[in-house]
Amino acid sequence: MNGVRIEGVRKAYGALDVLHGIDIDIEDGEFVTLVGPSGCGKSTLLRMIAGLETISDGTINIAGRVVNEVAPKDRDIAMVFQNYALYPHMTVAQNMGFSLKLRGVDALKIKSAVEAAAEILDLSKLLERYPKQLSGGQRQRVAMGRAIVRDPEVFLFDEPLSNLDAKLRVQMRSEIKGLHQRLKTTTIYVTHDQIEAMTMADKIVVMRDGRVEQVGKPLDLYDRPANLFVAGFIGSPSMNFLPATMSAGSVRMADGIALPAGARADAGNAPQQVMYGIRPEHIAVAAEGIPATVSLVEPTGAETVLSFAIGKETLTAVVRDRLSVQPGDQVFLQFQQGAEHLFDAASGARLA
Amino acid sequence: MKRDDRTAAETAASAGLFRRDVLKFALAGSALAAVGLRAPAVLANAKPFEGVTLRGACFQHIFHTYIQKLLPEFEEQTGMKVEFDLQAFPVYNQRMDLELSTHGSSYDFCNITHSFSGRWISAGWLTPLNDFLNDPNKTAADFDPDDFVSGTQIAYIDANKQLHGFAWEAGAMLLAASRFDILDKEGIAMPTTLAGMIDVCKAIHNKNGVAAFVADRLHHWNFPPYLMGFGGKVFRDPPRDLMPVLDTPEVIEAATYYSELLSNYCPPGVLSYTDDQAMRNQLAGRANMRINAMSWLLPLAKSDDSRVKDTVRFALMPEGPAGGFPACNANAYGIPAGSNQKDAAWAFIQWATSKKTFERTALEMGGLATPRRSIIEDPRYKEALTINGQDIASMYLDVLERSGREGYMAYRTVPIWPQTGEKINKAIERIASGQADAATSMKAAQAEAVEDIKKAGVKL
Amino acid sequence: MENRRRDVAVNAVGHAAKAGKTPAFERQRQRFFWLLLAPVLAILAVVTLLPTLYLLVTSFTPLNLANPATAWDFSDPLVNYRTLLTDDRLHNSFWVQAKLSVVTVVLQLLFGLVVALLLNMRTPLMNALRTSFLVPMVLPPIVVAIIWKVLYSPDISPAWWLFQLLGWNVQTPITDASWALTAIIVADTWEWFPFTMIIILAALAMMPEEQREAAEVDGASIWQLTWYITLPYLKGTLLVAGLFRLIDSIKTFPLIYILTDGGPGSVTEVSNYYIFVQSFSFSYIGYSAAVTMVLLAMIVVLSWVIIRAVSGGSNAQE
Repeated sequence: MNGVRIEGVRKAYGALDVLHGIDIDIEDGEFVTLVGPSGCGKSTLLRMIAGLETISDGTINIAGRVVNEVAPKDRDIAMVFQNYALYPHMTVAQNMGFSLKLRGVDALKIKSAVEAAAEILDLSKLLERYPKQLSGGQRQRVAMGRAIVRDPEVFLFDEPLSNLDAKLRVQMRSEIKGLHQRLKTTTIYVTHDQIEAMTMADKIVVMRDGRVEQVGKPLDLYDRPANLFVAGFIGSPSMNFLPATMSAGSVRMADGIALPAGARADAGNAPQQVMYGIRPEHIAVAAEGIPATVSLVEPTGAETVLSFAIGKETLTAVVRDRLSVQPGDQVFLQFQQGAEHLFDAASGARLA
Repeated sequence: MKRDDRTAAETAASAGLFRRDVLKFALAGSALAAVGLRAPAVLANAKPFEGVTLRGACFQHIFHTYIQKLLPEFEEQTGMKVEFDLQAFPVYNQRMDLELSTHGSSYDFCNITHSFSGRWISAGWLTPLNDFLNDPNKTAADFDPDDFVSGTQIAYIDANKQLHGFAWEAGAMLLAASRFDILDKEGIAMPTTLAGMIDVCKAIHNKNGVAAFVADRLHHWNFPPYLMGFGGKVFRDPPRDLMPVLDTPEVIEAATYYSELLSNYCPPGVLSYTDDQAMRNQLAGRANMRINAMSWLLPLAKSDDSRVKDTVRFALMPEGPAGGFPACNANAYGIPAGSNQKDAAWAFIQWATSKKTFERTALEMGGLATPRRSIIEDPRYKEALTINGQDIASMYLDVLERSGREGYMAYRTVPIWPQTGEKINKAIERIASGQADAATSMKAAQAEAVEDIKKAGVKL
Repeated sequence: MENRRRDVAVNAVGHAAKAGKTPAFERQRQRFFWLLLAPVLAILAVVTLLPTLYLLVTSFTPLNLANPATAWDFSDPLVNYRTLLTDDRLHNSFWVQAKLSVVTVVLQLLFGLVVALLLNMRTPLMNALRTSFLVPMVLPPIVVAIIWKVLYSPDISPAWWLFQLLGWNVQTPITDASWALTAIIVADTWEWFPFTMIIILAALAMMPEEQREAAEVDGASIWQLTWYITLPYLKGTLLVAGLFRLIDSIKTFPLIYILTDGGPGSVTEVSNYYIFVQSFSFSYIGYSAAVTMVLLAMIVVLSWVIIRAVSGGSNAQE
């Protein structure tokens, strides 16, 4: 079977365990992002797939072949590095054609392969330039071109857009996505930016502390996060969490404020400590509802981000309308029906 | 009234007179007493150089160690302190050359290296000592400058018969075979001619793993005796005619001979040997014959490191077709021209080269390369230098006298000797290392020497 | 309000700059700069510039320390320079120097590179050996010279003890006209390859890891990695290290003094050794000053050429 299969993969540096048993299935042609905070092990996992790190336990399968003992150049993968890793003393054309040259491929074939890749990435006019003469975005494209020329089974991207400014990042994001749609090569993309993950991926793998927290389609992760961590990680501004107690079908905060829970609240059973989650865009300012005090107003133009104080907690809301509220105003908040999330306060796991 | 006054005045005057007289006599008395209290070996009052610090420079040599052992007595007598600044031989020569050229006063006495004596004396960098010698207040009656064997002093007398130094050590070239037993086994006696010596070498080379000959790389010291032995000369007529004559057929023949000795009958790598290395070779019995100054050969019999004490034999240097010209040199103490403490320096030099001092250093401490005839002829000396039944003292004296009498060492004491000697050194190196044959090399040396001498401003 | 004041000040500076006058604070800053630099410049001038000037002036006299009349004798100022044009021994010394410099620089770069590449692999064995590789450079040069003198003296050398065991009859190179210079080159390379090694090792440590990984992913073997990626990266470093060693090689002295004294004959007599002999053995200060000036000029030109080449090279590096 094609695609990439990661089974029970562990990584230890001496006595320190960095990855604790990772299982991921990647279909052929899928665009998968590995996302998570710094130190979660996503880059390590990627490098293990590439063969730049050894595998302590478990197997990695590429295109039906176990590649644990296979050298990087024989794994049929191509990697795009965070800092582009271009060879400074070679031209763009030489950079892109280097892997073929190493394999002893005919010079004419190299030329045509390089030109084809340059065509796709709009680099045709830059082939004789040196990396230091290129902008950041151009260099990233050359790095991608180098990967494309190899025509591999899997593309590996290691946080390729981290070094670019915000605007360029947005542009490159669509370019990479467009490239994937065109080439249909299996892609594994590592990033710490959840927006990149959301917009580009067919499937997202959220990782934390060397473990997979959740795997699924972007919107699935957005709508039904499996635990507190994924809920807080996906979505910007992030989900609001209010500590509360659930008992006898109602959810109340510490100072008695009731939170709408609908059918989710578990009737019966002993009182349970929960975390009540509500996304900012599901909060509206209304005539009646939960009392709150406005603490901050941040207009972005398209929408307004408002911060409220409820009791001792703070809440962030995102509204489309231009409201004439000032910090200090007393308002009432209404939550979209059914949009709330409940998580067990101790384990963080989703409750229904 | 009047009479009383006069009496008072007279009394007063006579009292003062009396007091003055008493003081005078008292002082004189105590001075006499002070002089009478001691009998200094050196003249003048007791501790004449109180508070003087004398600084001297020499190259490292065991003789200065002996002197430093005896210094406390001298310092006690004279009140001066004497400090030695010792360096390795080549370093000393260069530094002293530079120092003397500045007419500085850093050193009050120094060693006059034999090969530099002509240069330093003719440049006026050293103080003539004749005035000191002629002054009975400055020189003890028993110093006896004529006691120095002529060959040891000849380098230090300039053209105007001015003397500049007194020798503390003399070198006389002799032949020593460390393993005479090997020659004896072949029924060979110590060679007396150069031709004979090379035959001996042929016969004994590498027998018992012992090289027949060994030499050091100071060819400018070792080679001229061979050169003269074959009938050649270094300069046409030193010190007046300084034209080098290094390319005559006799010199070329001598160079061929000497280089053959080095290339064929010496240990491998002999061209890089320092004099110490060559001596070590002989001491360990790895090489047999060597021709050099007695002080390099005596350790074969006297040193604790010697393995050849019983098998060493000495002889005069073999003669060439034109005779025997064993090299002879000496090293002397002199006074730099710029010194500010010349009297003290002379007092030191006098003491250091006196008979009494040499008796101690030569006879008691073993510094046997001594320049004074009285010591050499002393029975104790003869006994010390009787080695394996041979009378070395006579050989030593013979060479010292001969060189003084015949004056063949004059080439070494001309001002331009250092440059010329260096050309000879390079020439022999070239021949012995196979870079050129003797004729080419010596002709080149001749051209270089002429060039260099002209550069020094000498009219040829 | 504050902004307007700031703008006025900025405009004033701007106007003043346009008019060519530096503002007061800038002048003060420069004055302070020169004040701090002055002591160093003064010392440099006294210790370096004055003696050089003295040498230059002396080179126009036939100064011979043994002959006081020759001091300040400017009657024939170019006599020394004319002499050195026909001085065969001097020309030979330039040739020997050229041979020594070229070969030692190339060998030291090569060895330094190889050892640095090995050490960069950072295996435990290499880490342990790293300090020991530095030893030759750290020893005082005179000690190095004596060590090699012992090594080259058959009767005391451990190497010859080995040769004897193997039954080889090897001649000592320092007294062999064809091998003496090679003997010096070997000793010199042993002594100084740690210098190039350290410089290259430092550059290698700064080499971006990602380039190496990209090449690995691209399929480069260790040889291909070294040839296509590491060496081009090191080009500037190699040039700088080579320049340092080149200038230093002109100062080679202890090895020659102890091992061969310029011989046998003149086969290992390099230019500065010839100058040493002329000035300190013969006191021909005037002539050796002239030769020194010529040597100095050659070194300055050489350095300038190489520095141009290096900075030109490093421009293409980024």
